[in-house]
Amino acid sequence: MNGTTRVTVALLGLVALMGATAQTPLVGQEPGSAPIFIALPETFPDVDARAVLMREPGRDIVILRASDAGPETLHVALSLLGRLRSEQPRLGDRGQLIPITGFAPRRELAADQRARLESVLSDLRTRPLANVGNLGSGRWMPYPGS
Amino acid sequence: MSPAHCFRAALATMLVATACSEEPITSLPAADLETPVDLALAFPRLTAQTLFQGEVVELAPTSGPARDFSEDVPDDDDVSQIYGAGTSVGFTADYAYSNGRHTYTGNLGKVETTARVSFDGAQIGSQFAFQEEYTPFLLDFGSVKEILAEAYVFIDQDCGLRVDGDSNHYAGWQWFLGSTAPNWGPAGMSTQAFPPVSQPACREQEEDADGGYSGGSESGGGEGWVTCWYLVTYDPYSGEIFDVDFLFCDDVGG
Repeated sequence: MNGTTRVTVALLGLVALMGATAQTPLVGQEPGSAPIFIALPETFPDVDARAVLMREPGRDIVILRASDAGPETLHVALSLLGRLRSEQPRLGDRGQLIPITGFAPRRELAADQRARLESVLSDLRTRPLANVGNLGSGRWMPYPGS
Repeated sequence: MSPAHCFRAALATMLVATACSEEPITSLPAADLETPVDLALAFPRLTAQTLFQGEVVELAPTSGPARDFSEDVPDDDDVSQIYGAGTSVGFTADYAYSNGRHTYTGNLGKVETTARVSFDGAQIGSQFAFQEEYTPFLLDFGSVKEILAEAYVFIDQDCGLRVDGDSNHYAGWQWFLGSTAPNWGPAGMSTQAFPPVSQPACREQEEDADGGYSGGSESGGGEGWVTCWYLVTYDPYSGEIFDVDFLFCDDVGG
């Protein structure tokens, strides 16, 4: 093997190493099957919002504000997320950030619906502290059934 | 080194690289995540300013008529002046707005306005907008200019919403454009829209007030939750913001 071939082989190996170790967003999951995660960071992003939806290829994240993480907020966030997922199931290689600044109910949550959402939030609050990406310390969990 | 050795070396490199690669933990099926671990998440660089509507524009020197110094203006602050400042609010079929405007003398004018949308007494969204105008100092000889900023909140509701708004008005002189530039003779004031403007009450609200009717949405209000939200598109790789769809309030359902 001559020197050129060795260099070529070494470069191929280097390219493979760079490609394999690069941190890439998840892609390739079927629309509608992307998991939903709920995050409760200790420090909410510096945005005037009650909750923020974060849609990325392959997953959706509901980021809740600790002082406002009630069943109504989660209900509105999941309802809006459901609508956006049905309207735009494929994001391509782009992400969407949806700050929810406020909401007002036209009718109350049904008792069973409220109980289910409170159960989810209770589960979230009992999760141990972990790192929620660049938002810092917080709690998170996959949304049940997503 | 023989070709076979080279091939093995390359293969080994790729195998090691693949084994050491790390995907975001959230790629695992949700049900398998029983053990708490860190969430791989890169929140983009979003600031409050990203969600503002507005611009800074440089005016040509002949942007307004010359000031008429025979006008009756206060003596204590006649270097730069604000005239006819006001805020008005209202609805169109597609949006609610707050409109802040004034006339001024000075080579720097600015108006900021905020539209606040409420439903059933609860504020659910606000949109901030500004307009800043600058005329090169040496070319401005006291011309009178008008400035206007309008904050829009896009809606699909035709009942139940209320909009109110307020504005901050500013005029002054500045050597050059920039926050650190020497300035003098600033004048400022605030105005508020009065009264706020409301859409007609939704039918279910009217009927509920009478204590009976609890269904129907013939008045166009829907029957879910009136929700205000922005839509920001970004690059998940770099966090760069591509586009902002400004505040929108609609019925999210549910």
